[in-house]
Amino acid sequence: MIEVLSAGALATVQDLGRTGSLNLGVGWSGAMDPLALAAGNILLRNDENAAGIEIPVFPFRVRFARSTVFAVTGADCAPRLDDRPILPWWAQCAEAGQVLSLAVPKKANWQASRAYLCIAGGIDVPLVLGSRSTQLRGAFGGHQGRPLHEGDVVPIPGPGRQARSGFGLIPPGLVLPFEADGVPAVRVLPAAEYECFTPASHDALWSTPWKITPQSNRYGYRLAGSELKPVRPLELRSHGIVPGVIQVPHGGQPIIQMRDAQPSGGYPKIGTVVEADLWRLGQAPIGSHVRFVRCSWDQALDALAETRRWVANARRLVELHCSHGGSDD
Amino acid sequence: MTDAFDHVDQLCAWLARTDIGLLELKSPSQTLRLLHEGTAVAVQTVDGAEAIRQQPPALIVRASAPGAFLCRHPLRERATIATGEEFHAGDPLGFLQVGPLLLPVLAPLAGTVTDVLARHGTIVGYGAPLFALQPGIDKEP
Repeated sequence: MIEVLSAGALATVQDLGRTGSLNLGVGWSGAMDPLALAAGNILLRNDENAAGIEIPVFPFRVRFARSTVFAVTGADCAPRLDDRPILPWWAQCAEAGQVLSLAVPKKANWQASRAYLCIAGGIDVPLVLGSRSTQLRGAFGGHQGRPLHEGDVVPIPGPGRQARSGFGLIPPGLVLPFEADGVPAVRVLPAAEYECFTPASHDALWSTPWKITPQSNRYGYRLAGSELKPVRPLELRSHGIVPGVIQVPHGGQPIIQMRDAQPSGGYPKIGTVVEADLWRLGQAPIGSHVRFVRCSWDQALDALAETRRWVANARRLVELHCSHGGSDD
Repeated sequence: MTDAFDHVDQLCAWLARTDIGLLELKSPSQTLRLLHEGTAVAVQTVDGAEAIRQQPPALIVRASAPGAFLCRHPLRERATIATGEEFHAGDPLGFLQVGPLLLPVLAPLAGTVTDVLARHGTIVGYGAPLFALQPGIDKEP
């Protein structure tokens, strides 16, 4: 068990998501930065889809009720175990009774906003529709279908045989940077209504920075920037949408659908952030800027292959290190 | 301010009533050692130059794997440890990067870093010298 001593708003249990249920009206959920969650699970030699705790608001404190091995990935929030500073992105032992504290992420060489607490064996909540992710809109999955509160006791499995401590991973944000004119960028495919927007809107989409406004969360990011205008007013019936879709409502300020997006919508779609780059967006802090870089279908698949190669290589090296009697302190 | 060296008799008397085997006091000019052996307390003094010669020899920490030597964690701006800083046994002094994997360069014992022997970011081979350490006084035999 781990006991939540203090939680800011919206810390939730998440795995890689509840895919395959959009036809039931059930959105993906899942980690906003699936690469950070994957890295935590690799460090602990967990199943690829083991659940962790996504922490977007700090400070955050938990007490380990039993000894375990854990890792804090995602944003570097100066983790401390009791009073001792520990390393981020690092497999770390905790004794029963020790308290882990996470502080507001510092501005580092990698700008990130969400931390992931991964535990050996994964957070032990029941599978619902094949996933342990919290479905906030439907109030199911995760820990009782809701964000964690102070005093919650979250189940973790018994001491695993597999996890080793005392080594780390390099955050992929440092080795797979993607920028346009020095601004963090994501690749975008033009979407169904792209051609319905004015040439000036197309230029603005590809060549100006977009600010992530405070009206941004796991459901969607509302952006501020140049006004995007359709050539003539567009009225659409609601249709299926997926995370990554960039909608343009009447005001002309785009909304990017994120992991908790509802599965349908009726606004015109100017583009879609490719799946391979959703983790970058998931870490983008409120108030920061993002650029859109047009890409082709093949480039989108190449980008996905690149992140999958990183994950496969990290897992291979961790397994190699652990099977060769890596340190166990 | 009084000097501890002026109170050797009192210190010996206190030491005789404890389980402490060795009390060592250092000043710039000399080192005083009080050895508590069962019933009696033996007094040794060593002058400054001699005391320096008696320091345990520096220890070299070497790379346990080939990789890129990092003196700081990739997310951190400051070096994990600087020359002259103290550390505890088992503390990471730096890192070796092997692809996405980050391995710690661990302190074999408590002490002080006297020199960092590799530059941040350079590729080092197995066994390459990374840190020169002065073992902590409390670890002396």
